[in-house]
Amino acid sequence: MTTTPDSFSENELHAYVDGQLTPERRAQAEAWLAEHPEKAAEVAAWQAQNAAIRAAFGAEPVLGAQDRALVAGLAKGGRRRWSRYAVAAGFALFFLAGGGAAYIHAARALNDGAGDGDTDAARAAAHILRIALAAPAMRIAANAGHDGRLVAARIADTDGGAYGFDAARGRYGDLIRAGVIDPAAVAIAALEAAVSVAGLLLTAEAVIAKPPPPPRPTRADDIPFGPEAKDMTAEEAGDFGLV
Amino acid sequence: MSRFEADMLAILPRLKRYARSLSASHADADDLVQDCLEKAFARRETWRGENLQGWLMTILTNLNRNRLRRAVATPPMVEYDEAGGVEAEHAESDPLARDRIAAALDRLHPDQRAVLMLVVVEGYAYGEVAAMLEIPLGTVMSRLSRARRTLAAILEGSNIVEFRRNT
Repeated sequence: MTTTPDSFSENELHAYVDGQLTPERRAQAEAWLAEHPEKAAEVAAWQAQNAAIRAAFGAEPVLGAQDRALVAGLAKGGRRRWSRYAVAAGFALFFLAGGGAAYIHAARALNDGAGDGDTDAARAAAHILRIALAAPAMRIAANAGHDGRLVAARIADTDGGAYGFDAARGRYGDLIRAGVIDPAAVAIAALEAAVSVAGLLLTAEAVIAKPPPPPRPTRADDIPFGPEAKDMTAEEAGDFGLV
Repeated sequence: MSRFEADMLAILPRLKRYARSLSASHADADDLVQDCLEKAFARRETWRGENLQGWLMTILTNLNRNRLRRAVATPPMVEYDEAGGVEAEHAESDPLARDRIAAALDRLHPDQRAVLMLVVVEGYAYGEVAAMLEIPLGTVMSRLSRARRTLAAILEGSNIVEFRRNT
């Protein structure tokens, strides 16, 4: 038979909660708590805390390749191998040709990836994407007073790489050399976001959007000097070998 | 691979778990683990050759205390980016309950939190914790006691999880 002691110290109650009492003392604690409901409630609250903490943090994280690389690197006398800041900076160091040229060059991957087995929907999607990829370069060129369609076609006509149009100087050439660059991570994120939104809009049953602003009344002095920036239609894109 | 390196890899999951149990975000925990490993390799000669895990836990606890002393007190909130996706390793636990306990723990004094986590998550005996942190057993018990009472008061006072956008 278990004898019930007169009192339990708080330290022992903690030890009870944490499973650090001897089996004998543990049994005594249970008997004692049965007679002291106030203490029993407190102990129950501590047990609930333990359960919540273990549920939240108890699982051992699985080691990833970067963990092993970190230890291996440090063992060789290196400094820390990865840090979220270093990783972010590292990504930003990879640049693409700016001015929208990289998007036009990226459109080639659509041609390379196209196969006979593609569905009509896949071909239509590639078609839309090809037009959209040319749009930034066209818009930049048009805003600088050049013919956006001609510029896009000329960029598309090259072998790729960093070839593009430097709108500020009005020249074609190696944009990375010219310093016209986009961070690769930003360009990729922008493209992914655009495709994601487009996919959503194309497949949505209904979309709530702001109505377009009413067209401004055209007056003679409203007409800009240069050619007006216009979005390329699918037919126009086809004319310039982009499709 | 040296023995030191192999032992360290074997301990690393527990070290990461302990760091996460002390940190408000996984990113903070990862930084903490890196700092800890870096320091451990730099001070390799001072390790007495026994209880590598305890030694690493001690280093990590001290780094965490110093880090929090420097850092501006931040509100006990969950990072917005982490609020949506709960990692698979926590899939069995209720994400809201997890956020709630994590937010409450963020409000504990770091010394009290370290003792509580070493006992509850890592399963160390009170005497081991005292040796590891180089504090008397009585201090371990008083920190544990205060941690539990504070936690109970916080949990009772709030079942709301706040989210913060990264700015």
